Amino acid sequence: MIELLLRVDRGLARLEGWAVTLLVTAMVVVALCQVVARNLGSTSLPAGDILLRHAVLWVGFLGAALATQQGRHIHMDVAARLLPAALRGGVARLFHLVSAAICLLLARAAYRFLLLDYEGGGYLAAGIPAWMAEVVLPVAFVLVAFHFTVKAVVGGAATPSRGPGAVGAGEVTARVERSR
Amino acid sequence: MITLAALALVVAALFGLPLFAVIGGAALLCFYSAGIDSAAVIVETYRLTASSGLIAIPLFVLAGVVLAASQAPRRLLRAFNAILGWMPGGLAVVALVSCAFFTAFTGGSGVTILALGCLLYPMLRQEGYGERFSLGLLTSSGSLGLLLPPSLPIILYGIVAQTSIDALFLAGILPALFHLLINSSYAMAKGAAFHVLRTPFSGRELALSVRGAAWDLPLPGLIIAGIYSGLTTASEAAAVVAAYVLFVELVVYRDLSLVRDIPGLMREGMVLVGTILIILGCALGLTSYLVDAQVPMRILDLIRGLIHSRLVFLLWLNLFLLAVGSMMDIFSAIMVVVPLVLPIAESFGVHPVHLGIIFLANLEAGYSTPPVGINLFIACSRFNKPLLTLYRACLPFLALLFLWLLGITYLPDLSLWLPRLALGVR
Repeated sequence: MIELLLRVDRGLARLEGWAVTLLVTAMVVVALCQVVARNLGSTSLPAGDILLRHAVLWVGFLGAALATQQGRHIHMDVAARLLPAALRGGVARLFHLVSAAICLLLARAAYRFLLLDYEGGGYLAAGIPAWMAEVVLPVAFVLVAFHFTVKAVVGGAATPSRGPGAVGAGEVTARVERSR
Repeated sequence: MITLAALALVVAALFGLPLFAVIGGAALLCFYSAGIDSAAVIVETYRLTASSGLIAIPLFVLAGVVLAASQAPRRLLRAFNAILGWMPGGLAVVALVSCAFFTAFTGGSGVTILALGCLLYPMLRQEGYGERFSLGLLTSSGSLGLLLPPSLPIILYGIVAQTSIDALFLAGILPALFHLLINSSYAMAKGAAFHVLRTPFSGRELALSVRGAAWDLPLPGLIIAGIYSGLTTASEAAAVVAAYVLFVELVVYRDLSLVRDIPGLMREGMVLVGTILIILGCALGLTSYLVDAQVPMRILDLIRGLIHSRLVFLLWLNLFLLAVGSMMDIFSAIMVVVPLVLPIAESFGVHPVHLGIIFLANLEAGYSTPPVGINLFIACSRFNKPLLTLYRACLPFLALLFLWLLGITYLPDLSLWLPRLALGVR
């Protein structure tokens, strides 16, 4: 059972990873085209900017799901250092569960928001209905909740995230270590 | 019941509940207690897509992770060493400049300590710099690049405070150079005191290393010149820089492989973007409630009764932000604290662009402030030194940092002169 959960967890993370990669690639290309078009042709796709900003929303929230699976969410650990080691695992599991619950509530809120726009029938740009762009919010919150639930069930080490500004910190250290 | 739940959230936050869950939970709680449909939280989250600076976040982060994973840090270090290394205290100044460059592109000091610290620490020690000086220098100098474009916290401040990112980018330049000047002077004095061997200047090495880093070195200039001349906005500069960095590392230097490295780096970067955006999305919900409930106005009334002058207000702001900076990471602090402090600061006549610079500088100084500044912990594990050693190592640098903070807080022109000159910011 736990093995299956972990497999689904990793499979979803892989999908999220590919979706993010594709979206970022498209973003770089479209954003660059916009700059070139604006400066050379003094025109640009008016829909381009709107689509780009929504792509950021998608990338960000799928990235957040991925961050959950990797245990990388930003958190404070001022007081956690004071906890006796024996308690830390239990507290971490409890917090995973609480996070999952909050995410489900947020997913429900996002779904209600989506329904409002679905019934309203507005359009985003280029003939795309607004609700389609918003689908990512409830979906991502459910994904985040799922990853947290798996962590709560499986347990394991508390998140090693160092939080602040750690752009690719893991990646960078790994590479520096390798190149030494 | 509501109060109890709110209290539980705060306690859980201190013990490590992820901040987005704390903030999102608090937002849900507020709207629930006010009898408003929870969809209102998401209405605010979705407002993210109305922000024109938003696109700059993933693009600059992408540029940062690609740059960090490439050989660019080594090339730059070599070039800076050839340019500056012959001066008294040369290597220490090189360390400062490299850290500034690197932090500006990666958006925070933690990764600078991790990536550059292990390259620079042995070099410094080998040339004869003291242990405590070297540790203090590397631990505290992550803050140097934070105010230089395209630093991520500046962009985030611009989005949250709805202030021009272009103006903020220009505003940070002089304060950052001021900081560099202070620390370099100290480093030169220490270099002389340690009787460090001076490397002779070599024209050949200069030419070689600069040619080697010829494609990396123009990066900051590319951004600043684009914005200063009005050719590009910050978001457009982000697109150009991301494409430029990918082109340089993949095609010119071939440090990275498109198939083997780039997808992983994109995921890596977007995980960071995700951890920030999900907090931002939740924080927008919470702060919109707090603003509707007139919370900043109430705090303002309270403060108005106690503080009457701008100077005293700024002093308290400094202390408050240092405390926040040593407890929270800079991104969450910006997202939660800025909306509350901004109206108060404006009523005391502080310019939003100047406030941004004060904000970032204080939070970053908080990172190196004992007892709980995060830089200290990162350096502690990176250099394998006891925490107390690092506290003592950072003290002289903290003194300089506080001096600098006072300077940028009480001399608004230092921040506002460039944006006024180039963009006509009032």
